[in-house]
Amino acid sequence: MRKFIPVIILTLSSIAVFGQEVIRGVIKDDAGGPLPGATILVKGTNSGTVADVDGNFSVKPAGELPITLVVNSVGFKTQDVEVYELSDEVIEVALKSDNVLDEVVVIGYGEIKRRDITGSVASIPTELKAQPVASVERLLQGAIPGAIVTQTSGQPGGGVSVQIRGSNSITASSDPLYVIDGFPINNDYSIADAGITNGPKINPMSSINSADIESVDVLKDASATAIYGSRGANGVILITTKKGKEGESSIHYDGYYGVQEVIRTLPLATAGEWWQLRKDAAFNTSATAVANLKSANKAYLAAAESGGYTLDTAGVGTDWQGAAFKQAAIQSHSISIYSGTDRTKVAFGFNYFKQEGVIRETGFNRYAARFNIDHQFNDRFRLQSYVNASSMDAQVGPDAIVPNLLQSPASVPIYKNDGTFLVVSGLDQALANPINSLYNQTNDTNTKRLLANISVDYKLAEGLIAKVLFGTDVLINKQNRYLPNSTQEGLASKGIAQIGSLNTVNWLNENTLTWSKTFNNIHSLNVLGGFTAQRSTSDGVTAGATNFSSDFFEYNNLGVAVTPSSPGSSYTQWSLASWLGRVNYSLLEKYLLTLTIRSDGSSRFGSSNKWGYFPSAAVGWNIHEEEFLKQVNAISLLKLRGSVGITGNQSIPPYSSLSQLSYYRYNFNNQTVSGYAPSNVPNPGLGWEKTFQVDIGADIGLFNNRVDLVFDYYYKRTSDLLLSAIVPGTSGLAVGGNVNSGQQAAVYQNLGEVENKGWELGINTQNLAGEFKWNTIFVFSQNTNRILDLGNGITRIVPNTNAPSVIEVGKPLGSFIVYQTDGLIQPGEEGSSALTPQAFKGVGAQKYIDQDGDGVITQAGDRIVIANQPGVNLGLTNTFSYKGFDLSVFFQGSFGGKLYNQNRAQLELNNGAGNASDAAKYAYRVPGTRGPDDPGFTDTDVKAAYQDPAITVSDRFIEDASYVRLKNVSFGYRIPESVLSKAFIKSLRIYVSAQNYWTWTDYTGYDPEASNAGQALINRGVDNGVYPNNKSIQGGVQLTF
Amino acid sequence: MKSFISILTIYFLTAITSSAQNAEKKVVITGVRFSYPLVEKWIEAYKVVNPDVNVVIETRTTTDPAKYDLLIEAFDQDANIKESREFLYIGRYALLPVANAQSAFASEFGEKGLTNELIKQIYFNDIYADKKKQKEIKSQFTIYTRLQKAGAPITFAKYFGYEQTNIKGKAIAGADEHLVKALLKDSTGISYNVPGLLFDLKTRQPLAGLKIIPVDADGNGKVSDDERFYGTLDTVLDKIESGQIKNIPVEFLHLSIAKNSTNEEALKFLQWVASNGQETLEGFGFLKLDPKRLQAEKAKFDVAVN
Repeated sequence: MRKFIPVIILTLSSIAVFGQEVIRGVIKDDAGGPLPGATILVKGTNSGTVADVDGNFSVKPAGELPITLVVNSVGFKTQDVEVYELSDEVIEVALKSDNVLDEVVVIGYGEIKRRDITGSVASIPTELKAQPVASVERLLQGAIPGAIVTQTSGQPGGGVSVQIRGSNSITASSDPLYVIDGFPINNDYSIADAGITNGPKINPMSSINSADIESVDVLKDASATAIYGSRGANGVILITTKKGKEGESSIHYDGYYGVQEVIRTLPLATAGEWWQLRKDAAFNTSATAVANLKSANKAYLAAAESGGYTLDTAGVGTDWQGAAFKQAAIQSHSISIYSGTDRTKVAFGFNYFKQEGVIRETGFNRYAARFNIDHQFNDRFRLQSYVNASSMDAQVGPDAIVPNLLQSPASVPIYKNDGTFLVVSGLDQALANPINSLYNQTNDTNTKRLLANISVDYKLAEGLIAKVLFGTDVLINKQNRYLPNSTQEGLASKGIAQIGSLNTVNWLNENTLTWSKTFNNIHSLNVLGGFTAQRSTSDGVTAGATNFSSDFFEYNNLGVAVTPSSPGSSYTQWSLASWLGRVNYSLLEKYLLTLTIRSDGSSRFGSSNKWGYFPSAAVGWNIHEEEFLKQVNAISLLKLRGSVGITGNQSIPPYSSLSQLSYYRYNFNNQTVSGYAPSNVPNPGLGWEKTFQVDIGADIGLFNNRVDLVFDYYYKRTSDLLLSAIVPGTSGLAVGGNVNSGQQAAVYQNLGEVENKGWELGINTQNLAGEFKWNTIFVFSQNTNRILDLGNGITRIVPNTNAPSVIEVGKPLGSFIVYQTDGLIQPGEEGSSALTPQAFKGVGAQKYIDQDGDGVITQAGDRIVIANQPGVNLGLTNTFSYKGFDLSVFFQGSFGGKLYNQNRAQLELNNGAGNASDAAKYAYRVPGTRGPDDPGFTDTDVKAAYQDPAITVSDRFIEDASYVRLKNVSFGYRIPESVLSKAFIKSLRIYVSAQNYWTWTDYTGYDPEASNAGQALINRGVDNGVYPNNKSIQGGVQLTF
Repeated sequence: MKSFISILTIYFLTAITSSAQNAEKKVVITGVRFSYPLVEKWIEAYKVVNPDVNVVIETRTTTDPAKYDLLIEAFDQDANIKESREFLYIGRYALLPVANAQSAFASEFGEKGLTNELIKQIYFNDIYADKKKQKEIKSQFTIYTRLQKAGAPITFAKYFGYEQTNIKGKAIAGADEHLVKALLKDSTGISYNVPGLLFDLKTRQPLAGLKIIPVDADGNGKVSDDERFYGTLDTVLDKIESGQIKNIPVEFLHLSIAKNSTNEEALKFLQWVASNGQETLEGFGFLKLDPKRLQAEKAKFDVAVN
């Protein structure tokens, strides 16, 4: 009995215990699992906290109750909780996941809920937005079905080429239109290129700090892109930067530091192997060649001795790649301040980004500042402004660096014995020592960019909003190049200096009216109408001089040079005026209709074709809203979509429709005189490329949207291609700076057709919810590209007969035309009837297939076309989180693409002049080549050495460029709130991440993603001396105060 | 029941005989906030006859059963609580839709009233609702509801076939009285609440700034004049008590005590309320129990002491 007494005492004594003066709560997701990292802010103050690993939080209310807590977590709807009393009870806040249907997606000139979309619009998932990338487009890779992203150069700040649903054009651009915070920007790389800096172009999009990005939405089909009319055919990428949020006041620091290195180096011949190869090549060529080589080698060795350096003829020699490549640092530091009330939201950000190149003395720096404001003056009047200012400096690796690294033989040293650079790094070839070039030449490009817009919304009546926007995009580019006397490039001219500047000012005015109304909860209507005008002017100057008595001033004082070069100046302007309209209609939220039209008037086109009209229509059916599906709980979303429409492409140089005169100098009566000659004939009918596109798609959400699936099939046919077509010599047009150049003149005409068809699949699943979370994102796309017609009965265009690229009807763009190899010439097949176009017709020479059977290998009859269709792309991302830990693993792959490995073609010439790959060891060797005891080496497919200087473009060097790559892996930990609260820190996450650390590919070049062709479409499959891509590892901190 | 009573009896006997030093007789009550004025009235009356017993309301101890003796609640408790406690159903409460008097919603529905369909459409998230049949609501409104699990929202949702989590709008961390505060400061606010918090208990008139929204009380699909009976608190209570009223959720208010409670004074107070509590109910906006039910409830505790 006595045991009950303590019960009473305990009961009575514990009554007086009260809770502390804090609000305690727990944040959960809709599956009931804790939400670590959710931010809790006391509205209107700076105080707040972050939920710990179990979702728990506590906040001390400052001031009087009630207060409002604003609870935020990525991927969930923000929830406001008004707290009226302090209680022992733990406040349980269950955040609702952003319902994919209610998610607002940015579309052209507006926003729309995902449930009401009829077009094909994809957004970069939150999980993939956090990757450390130098420019925003790289985030699209493997994240958006149908977007193919190619890094065209490893140059820091360098190019990225994006294609949405294949290439639509042949000579006009196939890159999408970028719209940043409502401003359609010109992303032609030439706007940040005054024409002086040599090497890969710097990407003007690098001006945007990827940490500032709130969302990236990609418009793909005609229904979505028609509102951008003449610029919509290649897809549209809408980028929205972060704004302040209501009730939020925070300071963020986001920084990382890492190291990059080249993904791989190419295996090359050692000094001894190369020296031997020279001898073998001479042996196979002729007895005279052997004699000549002996005397030449003797001379080189003598020159080396007198010049104070040593040639290695037997050892390993110089590792040119090792000397040029380095472990390079990459770092980024961003500070962002966000603040918002119910009326005013501001965001301020500053970023410093510095990426050293993996090639020495190259790199990229960016300073970017951003200021966004959104202020609601009253119920009717709202003002928004976005300002992004940036300064980018790049030290660019010149085009010749990588080819020279590969061609410089290991026998030649980098330095003389006294430690100074050797100027020339070849023996038979006058190669510029690439390391000397890197250290001593200046090759910079500097760009300042201001992208700003301001808009006002005025509510004229309930549901009727007028918006006026003014914006400007100003780019100031300055480029400097100086090749000093101490480099091979500058030696002959005693120093060469060049400077250039290009200023581009783009302004925009948009005026739109939007009317939204719902009738009887049945008919929902959203009508948009507007007028926009945009103009861009560029003016550039270039100047240069040679013959400097001293390198001291470099490019900074051209006046001290003895010989000024011809100065240059330019001015171009284009403008675009447009009317646009769109109607979104929804019946009972089940049946959706979108009608869009844009009419564009462009200065680029002919007088009789100034205005183009781009209509589209789309329908959608939300089947899940139907009675028969409402009871099926497993299906939360089932929508069928269909769209059809016409969009355009106007990406050709201004003035292409006009008659043009160009200034030429020519020789007359042994004197240089000057004059004008026609360089372009007028084409008043020159108009848009028109892309007709059909899209059929389905959006499916299962199990309360834990499984989201998006499927699209599309067919695109682009006609009236803006083809720079060759005109007959009888036109009298001058090209190449000389009327007698012998080159064929070309003018833009609307000719030909290209088609793209394919399908896309995106699957997003939440495999595990609750405390241990596991999400998967899978994207897949397949595109088939085919040229249908080239106009005027032409079926094949070979732009450069010495290059492998071909444009042929029936084949995809970027295909190759090459000889087909057939092993090596065996004993008995050699001599004048040997099947090879090369001079070397002996045993061990490359043998080719005689396609036309005429007994000789000729360019005209024996080349075949090999299709290049990098059509299949996929991305697979898995993210895991448990308590404070998170792990993300992102694989990306491309299948079906081919690259012409021109580096390898050059290195396998086996001519003993330039350098060779390590395959030279395995070159065919007739017994006795190296002396009477030499057994030879005949079981090989590597052709024998021979002093033949020319590459024969053959299928041997077309390699499968398919790959699967571990694009990004990151592992992070969020420090518990209990540790942080003492340091007044709201949240702290530390992470390590690695990019490109594992690649599966059969491609033997530096990187299967590479192409030095930049935005050019025809020869993007040629890998020739491109700045190699890198792999990197970073450690980073994300801190919120 | 018998076993419960015998256990209690043994407890109390033990407690009485062995705790002479336990001088202060204290009973701690906690639970649903809107009942506190009523409970305070009971305490006041109880003290007159039992001056040595200190019955107190603790507002912030609801989460820990060790800290209170009696729990007054307004919704059916979870099974595990039900098993460990004995319940006295003491009265009933109703729930009425209400809006900020300045709101467009009050202008639109203040006279027209709300039918069952409209209440469901306005107050609840229902993914299976037939949108075709839904009416157009012209006025902008913000619903205020409670964040934590509580009697009023549970009862309100349950009556219309939903759960508390289905109620739309802004959830506040606070009691039912705070819903009224929230309503008064938002000119688009609407909510639901008990009559005791919507009317001035002295003047019996609706609180200034609030507009109680009439409902289709006879379920005929429209709101007629005789369904606009919100002039005084008493007419409201009379109407609801008088018959089969529809679309006004009504639920029991209950006091409970732990089956293993050793506080004899708590049980005594409970018995006192069972016998004397009915008369005070209406004064505070609550509805009486019907006499039969009251009898049964009293009987539960009659044997317990003495």
